[in-house]
Amino acid sequence: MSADIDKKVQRIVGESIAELNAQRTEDSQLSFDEKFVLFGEGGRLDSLGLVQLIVALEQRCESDFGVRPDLTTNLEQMEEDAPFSSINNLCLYLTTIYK
Amino acid sequence: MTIYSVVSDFNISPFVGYLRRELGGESEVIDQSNSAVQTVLMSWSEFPMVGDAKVDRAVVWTRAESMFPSFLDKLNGHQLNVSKLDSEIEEFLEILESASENLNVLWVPLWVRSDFVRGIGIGEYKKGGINWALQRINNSLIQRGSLSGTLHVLDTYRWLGSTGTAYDPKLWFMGKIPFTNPIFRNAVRDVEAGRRVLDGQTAKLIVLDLDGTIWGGIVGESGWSDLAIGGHDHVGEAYSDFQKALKGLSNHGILLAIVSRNEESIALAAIDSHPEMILCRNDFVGWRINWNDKAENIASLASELNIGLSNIVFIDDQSAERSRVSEALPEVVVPEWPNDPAMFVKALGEMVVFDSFGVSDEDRERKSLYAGENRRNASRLSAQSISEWFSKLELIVTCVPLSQENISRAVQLLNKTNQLNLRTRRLSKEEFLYWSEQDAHECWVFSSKDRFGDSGLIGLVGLEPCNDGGILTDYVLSCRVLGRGIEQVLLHVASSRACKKGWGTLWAEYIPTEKNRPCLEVMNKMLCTDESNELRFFCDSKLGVPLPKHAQLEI
Repeated sequence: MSADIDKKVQRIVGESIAELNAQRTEDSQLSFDEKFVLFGEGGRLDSLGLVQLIVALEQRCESDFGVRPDLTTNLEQMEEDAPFSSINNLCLYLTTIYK
Repeated sequence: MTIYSVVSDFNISPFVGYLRRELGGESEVIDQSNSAVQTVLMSWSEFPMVGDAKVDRAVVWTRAESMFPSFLDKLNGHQLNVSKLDSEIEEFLEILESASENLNVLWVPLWVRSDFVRGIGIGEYKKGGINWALQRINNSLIQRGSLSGTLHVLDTYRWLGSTGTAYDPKLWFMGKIPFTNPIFRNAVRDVEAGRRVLDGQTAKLIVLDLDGTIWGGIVGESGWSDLAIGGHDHVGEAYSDFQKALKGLSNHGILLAIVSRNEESIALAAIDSHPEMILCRNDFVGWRINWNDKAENIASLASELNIGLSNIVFIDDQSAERSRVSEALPEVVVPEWPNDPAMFVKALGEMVVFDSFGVSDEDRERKSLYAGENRRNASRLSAQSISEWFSKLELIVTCVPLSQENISRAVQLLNKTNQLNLRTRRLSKEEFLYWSEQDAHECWVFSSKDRFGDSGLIGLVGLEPCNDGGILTDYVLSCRVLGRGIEQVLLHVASSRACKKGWGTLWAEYIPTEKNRPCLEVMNKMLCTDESNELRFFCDSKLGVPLPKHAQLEI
């Protein structure tokens, strides 16, 4: 069950990243590498990109888990383990919600 | 570099991102969503600029509540003031139309209700309701667009119909983006389809496989009576509907041909005999029904019909055949094709290569033009010599100045012709008329007919003065009439006009593209080459280019 959630979350994040990449130039592509910095210091997403990623993730989570999460609640969190600081933290955060 | 501008009253960056990816490096897409829409459009009625760049093509995508204050009042619960709304519509459409006149094209998506709520349900379509008002606005836009050569309407409602979730409140409240990504992707597909029309990259010919593609079953094994077409069977009905869709495209000027691994006599007997066949033998302008390689067959058909490979779509249910053709003929459009025949019409309908800014009489008659061409080719093969064939052709070429009567077809020819096109100049109707009306500019439009039929409008020549004589600004000839001496008739008229104007020399500068090499061959054959530039040709206008003996010219 727990492994299923991990896999689903990874797929959701991967598809959401791919959705954003389809409208980004070659030199501003987002990576699915777990250490890739998404938002914050050194991150590749601006605030609009972050909004688009949040919505893409929320829509897919709703479709897969039946409940739409609100991923904007921890946006102010600036620590290194903030959900959108890296791909790895994002996956962990989503997994925690559905576990 | 073609400059696209996207003007909007909302955050349209996803659309701009998709559009940039779709168009690639040959175009620049400028996001003007941070500017006041009316101000931008009004400035374009003078000259469409963004910074130092001249805008060629634009998308103006707005929300009705931003453009029409009366509509916003209605959304806020007030009674709709219809006459005020009408004057606001009129004012905005005037601005749009005026801006479009200086552009190559201006696309405007239909307005939709951006909050997607029910309101008072059916009451919203009663007079004064929100949906009633929206339809009134959209109808006015459609009316304007139908009369304009540069203002084109995009069907937002079709995008909504093919998308699960069109609106996400969070996207709106946090990003001021009123649509989800699938809507923007659909919009980009429509703009890309329009771009193909402007750039002459639409399909002219669909090459079809037979077994499993236009009918269910294998005719060589089961015979035609057991094929799945029509009948009280969902598979047969799907094939039947697919044939109807193909026939519809054929009636709009898209030609059909067959490339199939079969015995020709058996396959043609099925087409002629099956009572539920929608397509008949006359719907196909050519076929290669044999056991040869399909790529070779397609290349041979393309050559016979004088159609460029990039204007051909190949549809086959077998992925191995599709893969072979894609590999051997990369220019041919080979769509991924569903296994389920129920999806065939949808797959065909989703292709972006069949768009057109309108269907002319000549489009509708194209099939019969090619039938005449087949008879002409047969007579050429049976003639003892080319001169004997010419002498029996009874060729009459008619030449008239560019006018309101022929501008639509002339512009279509100018923008669609790739092979016999000296400079591949692409212009809108308005731009072409404007150019032709300038002092000393001339444009002549050619039609031809012979004893095998009327080929309709097939060529045009544009002329303007230059420092040392006159220059051919356009030399365009439909490739389907190549080889009948008409190419020489066009140059005869051009040199005669140059002589009449007192231009001592007529110049022709060939601008190479990937496809117009046949035009270079014509220039090399008919004119003298400039010693300093092998792509520049000339003739002494007093000597001129002679009229071919077998051609009768009517001016």
